[in-house]
Amino acid sequence: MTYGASSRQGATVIPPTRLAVENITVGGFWLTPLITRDGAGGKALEELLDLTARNRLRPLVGSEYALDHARDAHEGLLSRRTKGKLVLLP
Amino acid sequence: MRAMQHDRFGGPEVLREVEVPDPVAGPGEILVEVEAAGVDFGDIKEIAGELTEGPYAMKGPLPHILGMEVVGQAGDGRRVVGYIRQGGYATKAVVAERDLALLPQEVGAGAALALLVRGLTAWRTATEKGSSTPIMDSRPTSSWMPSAGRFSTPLWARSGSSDGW
Repeated sequence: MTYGASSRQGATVIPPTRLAVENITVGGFWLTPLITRDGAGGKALEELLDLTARNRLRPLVGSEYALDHARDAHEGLLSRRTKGKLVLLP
Repeated sequence: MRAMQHDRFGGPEVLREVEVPDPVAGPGEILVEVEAAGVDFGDIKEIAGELTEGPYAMKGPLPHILGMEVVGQAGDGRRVVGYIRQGGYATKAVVAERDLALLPQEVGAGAALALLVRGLTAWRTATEKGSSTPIMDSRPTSSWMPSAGRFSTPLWARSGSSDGW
């Protein structure tokens, strides 16, 4: 399984014949249609927050930027120097 | 309110600080004072004009305010984390009730923002892949972008446990 697209390069091409020979199914996933349909709130988000509150999950938080320095956050993300969620503070 | 707006597509240089009228909450929505806004990779694609087609195109009319993740304080005192389609890079934002959750006291704004798109992506791929097809036979094998992958490992471990989800 691979995640993300921050390199902005295309994904690996897989020949369909190989799928048949190896009985493989390949799928894709994008969150946006699902939260458009179901909403982003609800049980899953609440459980993620609860796991975090109980220290079972530790989300990685990256740099914080003043809102008017949003450009710096974008430049950091584009250069792939950053790690974790980048946060703007109004 | 203050906001970072862009009136053309491009790189980071098109973001400008502006003073604009506060957004107005419609039915089922609340106005929040933004405490923190997340920067998502989708913002980069959106500002570049790369996501302008299809049913989920992220192309608001220009000028446009980016930002799909906010933590903020509602007028009724609730501190919430919410997903929005646009408008997070601002001091105020409108969030739909169906797209928000109350923030537990122990969870910081940055952590909550990380849980929205990344955490929910990891959750849904680990538990249901957005359809009725289980993908329990799959396992993460590599993650060169550690954002969603970071959450997936504990979620995968949990999804295989006896108490399930």
